[in-house]
Amino acid sequence: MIDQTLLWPLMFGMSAITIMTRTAFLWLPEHWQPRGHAGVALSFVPALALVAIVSPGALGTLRESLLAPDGFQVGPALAQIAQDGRLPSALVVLVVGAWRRNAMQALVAGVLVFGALRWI
Amino acid sequence: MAAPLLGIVIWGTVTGLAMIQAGLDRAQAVGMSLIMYAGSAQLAVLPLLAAGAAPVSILLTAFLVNLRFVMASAVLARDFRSLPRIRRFVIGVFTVEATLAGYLMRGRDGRTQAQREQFKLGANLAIWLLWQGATLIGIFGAGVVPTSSDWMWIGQLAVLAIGAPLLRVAGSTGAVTVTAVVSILSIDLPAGVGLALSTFCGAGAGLIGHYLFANRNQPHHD
Repeated sequence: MIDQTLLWPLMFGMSAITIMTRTAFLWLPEHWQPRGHAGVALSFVPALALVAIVSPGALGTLRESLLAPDGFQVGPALAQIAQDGRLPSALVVLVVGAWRRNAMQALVAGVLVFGALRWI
Repeated sequence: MAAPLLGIVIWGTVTGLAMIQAGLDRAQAVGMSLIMYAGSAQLAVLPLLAAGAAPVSILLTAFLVNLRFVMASAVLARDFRSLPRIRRFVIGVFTVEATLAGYLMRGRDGRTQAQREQFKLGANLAIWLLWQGATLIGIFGAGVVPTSSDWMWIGQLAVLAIGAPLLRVAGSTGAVTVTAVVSILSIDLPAGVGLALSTFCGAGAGLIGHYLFANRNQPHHD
């Protein structure tokens, strides 16, 4: 359930954070640019944060299969993962997005796979 | 130009739909869209809001998702250096994925600072209008589709699709794998903590992979 008293303050808080990051070029030191090891590591962070947000949902069914009380069984686990649809669709989005460098193609491919597994 | 605009419409509609499916009422959803105007951050925090996650987790998540704008700030700082602060602020606040990408690809070359500002402000306004309209379609269209957690997952796929094109550099496969594994191992930690932990472990793995494989793949440009 959404916490109604916190919702509006949270929205304004997230808005403040968003504005801060989008106007970073105003308050960061001039000519700021992460270089060297820190720069390489930092360049991974935005995409990985998005991956990390999606991972618990995508891997939830796999985790349940691995922790099943009567032990992990490959066949039923694969059937469950396919029926759930989240992990296959997330993998398709990742592969198509990285390969085509195109967010829309990635989303359309992922939704098609998810829809096919869920509703057919 | 048509494809990015279609993208805005699709993402806006998905975001509107996901806000309603997450349990916001229409006024709250419209408010969120106007106040935040941050599609990927909105989509990212919706499951956390719906699950009643700690405010710190939610704010940290919004910060990490928006970090990519900080990465682009060096270019904007250079291009708009001599504008008054308030005008740079306006340029920054309304900079979203689409306007940034459009500007970097075709708004800069052979233009004066004044022309760049015009391009950027025009794109910012057009995308803002299109986004808000598409969000409204999603919010008010949500009533005609059945309630299902499947819509929330499509919102999550939309978040992932924004990140995936950034991943075609040496070391990405290892970085994604480590991020995913750590995120599932840290699933019992507060959401924002698990997110930060798995992101930074993944970035560390990416750093190692980058130096191991950089020679064989394309050079890294960031």
